Formats: sequence, structure tokens, C-alpha cells
Amino acid sequence: MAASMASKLFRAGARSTIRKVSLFSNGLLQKGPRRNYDRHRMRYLKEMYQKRLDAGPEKPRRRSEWINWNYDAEIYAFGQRLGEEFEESTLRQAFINRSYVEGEKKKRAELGIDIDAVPLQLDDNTEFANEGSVLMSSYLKVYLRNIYPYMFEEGISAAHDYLTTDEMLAHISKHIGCEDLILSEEFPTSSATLSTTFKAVVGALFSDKGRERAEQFVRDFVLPQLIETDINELWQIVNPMGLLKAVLVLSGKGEPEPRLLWKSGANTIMSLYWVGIYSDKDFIAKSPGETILIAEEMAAREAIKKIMKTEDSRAPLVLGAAAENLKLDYERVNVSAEDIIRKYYGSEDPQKNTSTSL
Amino acid sequence: MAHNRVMQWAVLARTWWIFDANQQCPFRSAYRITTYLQGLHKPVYHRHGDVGDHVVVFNTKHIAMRGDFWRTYKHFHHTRYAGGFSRASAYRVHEEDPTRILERACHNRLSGLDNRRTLMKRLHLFPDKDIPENILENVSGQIQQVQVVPKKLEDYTQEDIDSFPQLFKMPEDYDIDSYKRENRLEPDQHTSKAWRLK
Amino acid sequence: MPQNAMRVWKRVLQRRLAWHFRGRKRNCYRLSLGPVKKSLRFSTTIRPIRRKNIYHLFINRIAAGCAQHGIQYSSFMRVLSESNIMLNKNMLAQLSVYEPRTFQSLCEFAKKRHSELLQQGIGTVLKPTPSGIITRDMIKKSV
Repeated sequence: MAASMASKLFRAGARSTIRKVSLFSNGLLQKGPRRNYDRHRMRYLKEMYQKRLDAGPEKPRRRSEWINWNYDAEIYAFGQRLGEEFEESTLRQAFINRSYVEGEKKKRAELGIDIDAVPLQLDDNTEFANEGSVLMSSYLKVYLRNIYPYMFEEGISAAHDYLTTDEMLAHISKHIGCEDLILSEEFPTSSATLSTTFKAVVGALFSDKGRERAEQFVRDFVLPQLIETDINELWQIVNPMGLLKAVLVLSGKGEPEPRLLWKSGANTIMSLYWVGIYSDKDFIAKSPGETILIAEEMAAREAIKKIMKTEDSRAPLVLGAAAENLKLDYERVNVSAEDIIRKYYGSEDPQKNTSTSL
Repeated sequence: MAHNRVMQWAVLARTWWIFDANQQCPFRSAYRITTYLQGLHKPVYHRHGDVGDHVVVFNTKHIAMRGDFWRTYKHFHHTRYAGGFSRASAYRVHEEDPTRILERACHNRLSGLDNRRTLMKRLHLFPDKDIPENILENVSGQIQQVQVVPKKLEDYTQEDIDSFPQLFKMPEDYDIDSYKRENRLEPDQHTSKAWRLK
Repeated sequence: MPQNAMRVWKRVLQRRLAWHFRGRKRNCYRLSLGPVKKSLRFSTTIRPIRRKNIYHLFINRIAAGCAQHGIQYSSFMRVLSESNIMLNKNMLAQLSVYEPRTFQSLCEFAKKRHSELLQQGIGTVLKPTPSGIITRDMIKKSV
């Protein structure tokens, strides 16, 4: 274990030095393995290898441990980078984690300073985070409901949950540069802390610049995570055919009727079936599959996608400059799939339930 | 779950095609059949991609060759021993094995490919209309024939033949029978002795 | 430093170039000498061939896409270039695989334009052409 790690380290160290030297000496950027061995630098490289082994792996450090660290400048740059004008005090507070405040108090107690006499003027970001979280979550739902007006409420909340997981928010937070600015006792910073900080930044913007600006911030940084994500995959439908049946019948159409459109290689391991779904002899959707059952299920999913108008050919999300004049209906509530199913199956006839639980 | 997964399956699953070789040139048919075997008809084609399809060919007994090719087109073989060279005219090969000419034509078309053997395994040749049921069930598409099937003299009724305008009448003592193939007894000079008609 | 250090150092390089081989020519120094030399030579010769292969791959893919929509590769490419649609073979091949609807609309356009060009070509054939023969009468009339 130790040997393999050491060899890895050597490779990393030696390669980087070699690469630098070769860049300077040839002026060429080589890809792939090098085809010469540095006879004259062998001693030097071996020495470096041994030193690297002795030093051990690099210790993770905070950015603030380096000498060229200016927290004031970084706080200012953070707002400027994102094109937002934060008030400095609120932005500073947004980065202060609760554990940091407690740590400071502890330090003072160790030094024998009386906290009541010299109060510690530090507030943590919990309040901001709560405000930001509420705002973000309500805006995400409103936005998605308006963009996908035919999508079921469950799908909307699934997309909302996907966007507001700690991992997702931590990812965003890390990539807009919160990680170095966070004041926290724990290191390396956990995803929960990163996500709280991001929410706090949203909350800080809300208190500084108002709701509209904060919502724009959420739209610019959180919603783009949905790009290249299939929104239909986020909500897992257990019995698509049952839902489709309920939707079609309640909207006054006939029951869905799956039909085999064509098949190929039926006796082979790579068999392919295409199943189409019809209602009142009208074509709704079709889908391929390895077996007829899979194809039928996928066709039902396609049909639901068509009903929700979130098929693959849907328009892209309205973001950026196009979204500036977007008018959202804040009161809007989409249809819930649960209601539909309750209305259709939960009524009186238990036979209906059994017939569709395929 | 994912719809993309089944769409990918639909792209990469092997389709089975059927080709009627009745009155078709074997060489031009081979050109078209190998296109499907290699997957050259798909935009996802890659030489090492293994995206080719299966092709079922029937009626290979009834292929047609132009000119005097039945006589002059040769299949060669060498046993790699001294004097082991032999050759046979196309008609002789066809009499031995009615699927052989089309199979060799496809095989030669695919020369130079690393996966020629694999591709040839996906070619199913049948001399006449009898195709096993389990193979016929797989088929889902038809490959267009390379040439129009001509109408044979046997297909015309006697009335049509009689009413066909004739420029002149054959003399009554004209010997038509000696032009029939069975009567041409001279040996095929280009076929090795072992393969000549007895 | 041990005496054979330089020897080992040299072999490290050899191993670096032979890591992707199979069998003893991967592990034994002496056996790897020839194959490494040959593989380096081969990596030079393959460069233009690889370009050529990719060029033909693009053509094959575009031709397959064209065949699905009933137009020939040559006429498709000709129409696109004459209509000032500046898409190279790489982009067209990618469209045929990943954007079939876009490629279909390109094909439909090419088919229509191609039939127009064909009709124009037939029109030029049918027009009366000057014979190029000048008679004495014609000169007299013009004077």
C-alpha cells in the first residue's frame, strides 16, 4: 500500500518537474509518454523522489493559511464576480458558520476574557440561511410550475428536491467560490456547511436588495443545473399505465390501448419490439423495448410525457437574458397525480384497482 | 426506467432483413447485402463498431448472371500441394451448391476486413423459398432487389406467343434442338477435368 | 548510488514505452526493444492514415443518413456547397447521428434544390442553340 502510494507520488512529482523542464527546453508541449530519459538529471530526480517520500503526502490546508490571503479583498471580489452588490457586513455574516462563533467564544474563555464585559460581536448565518432556503424553495416551485404548466405537482416537487439537495447546493457553492470564504471550525468543509452558506448568501441578497434580485440570483445559479437533465427522470412513476388510464378516462377519452407496431429478431437475444398506445383509435405515443412488457411500460411513460408536455422535443428552459421579462403566476398550483388517481381508483369500484396493477 | 436506454437499444439492436435473389445478379446483390451486413446503412456506422445487421437471402438457386458468365466466371482453389490447383466454372459450382456463388461474392466483397468471419455468420442463405420458421420470425425488413425480375417465356400463355408479331417464319427443317444446352456435348475447356460434367 | 543505477534508469524509460504490450515483450527488456522501436515507427506512419480513415468515416455516415432520406451523397454535398450552406463533413456526420431531424430537413432541402437544378439542366438542353455557322445571306441582311 505504502509502496504503491509512494510510486504514485514519485510519478506525479517527477512527471511535473519533467514536464516543466521539457516545456522550457524544447518549447514543445508533448502528449503521451516521453521518449527520452534524462541521463544528466537522474541524480537530481532521484533526490527529489526521496524528498517527496520523506515529506509525505500534501496536507490539506485552508486557503487562508497562505500568506497572500486578504479576506477583505476576497469578500469584495466575491460580490463583484457574481455581479451583485452586497453590503459588506451582511455578506460577512453570511459566511460565518455557527461552529466558528462557538469556537471564538471558547478561545476567549481559554484566554480568560469575560464575554459579558467584552461582547463578541459576531452573528452566525443561520437566520440568513433559513430566509434564503424558504425563498429559494418557493421560487423554484413557482418557476417550474410556470415553465411546465401541464406537469404534475409530484414531478415539480421531485425536480425541486433534486435542486435543493445538500450535494447540489454544495456543488454550486463550491463553484462560485464560497469554500475559501467560509468561516468554520471544520475542515475540509462538509457539503452541509457549503449548502447552508449558499442559502445564506441568497438570504443576504434578499435582505440587501429585495426579493426580485434574490430570485434572479437563484434563477441564474440554481436552475441551470437542470440543463441536460431529463426532468422526467427525476420523478419515478411506479405504475405509468395506471396513471395514464386515469388521466385519459377523466379527461373524457377512451382507455389506453397498447398495440404491437413492429418487431425484429424476436427469437434472438437482441429482440426489439415497438409498442404504440392508442386511445379511441388515436395514436398517442410509441416506444421500443427488449420485451413487449418493457416496451408497453415505456410507451405509457412516453404518453404521460406527452400529456405533461415535457417530451424530448420540449423547449429549453427560459434562463438568462430571455428570463428578464418573464411573468410568473405566483399563485399557480399544478394538477396533482395523486388527486387524479384517488378520484379514479379510490372511488367505489375495487375491481378497477386490480385490473391495472400490472 | 430511462427512455434513453430503450432508444439506445432500438439503435443498436440487430435488425433482420430479407432479400429475394430470384433473377438477381449475384455480384451487385452482394454489394447491397454487404452494406447491410457491415451496418453501412446506419449513420452510427463505425468500422470497429459491430453495428451490422442480419440478412436472410432466399431463392439463391435462381440467381442470374449476365453475358456468358455461367461459363466463363471461375472459382479457383489451390490445395497448396504441387499440382493442387483446380478451377470450376460458375455453372458447375452452382450445380454442386446453389448458395455457393452468392456466398463467395459476399465473402469477396468483405475482403480486407478483420471481422469478415463474424459478418459472414450473419448471412443466412437458402436455395429456395423454404426458410425455417424460427429464422423467418426474426425478419422485419426487406432489401430492395438490384434489378427488375424479367418475365420468362414460360410465363406467357400460348395465345400471347402466337399473337406476337413475327418478322419471318423459320424454315420447317431448321434444327432448333441442337442449340439446347443438353445437346452441347463438347467439354468446358476452362473447367478442371475433375469438375467437368460427366 | 549503486553502480547499475543508470542501467535501471534506462530501463524505466523502456518500460514506460512498452506498458501497453502483451506477453513477454511487455516485461522483458531485451524482448521489448524491437517492438517498441517498431511501435514508434508505426505511430509516425499511422498519422496520415488515421486522418484518411476519419475522412472516410464521415463520408460513410453522411451517405447512410442521405440514403435514409432518399438522396445520394454526391448530389447532397453538391447542393449544400452551391447553396452556400457552410457545414463541413464533420458537422454533417454529427448531425446525421445526433440530430436526425436537422439532418432530415437538410436532406429535404437538398432534394428539392436538386430536382430544380435537374429541371434547369434539361431546360438548357431543350433550348435552341446557335449553330455557329455563318452564311453569306446572314451577312448581307445585317449590312
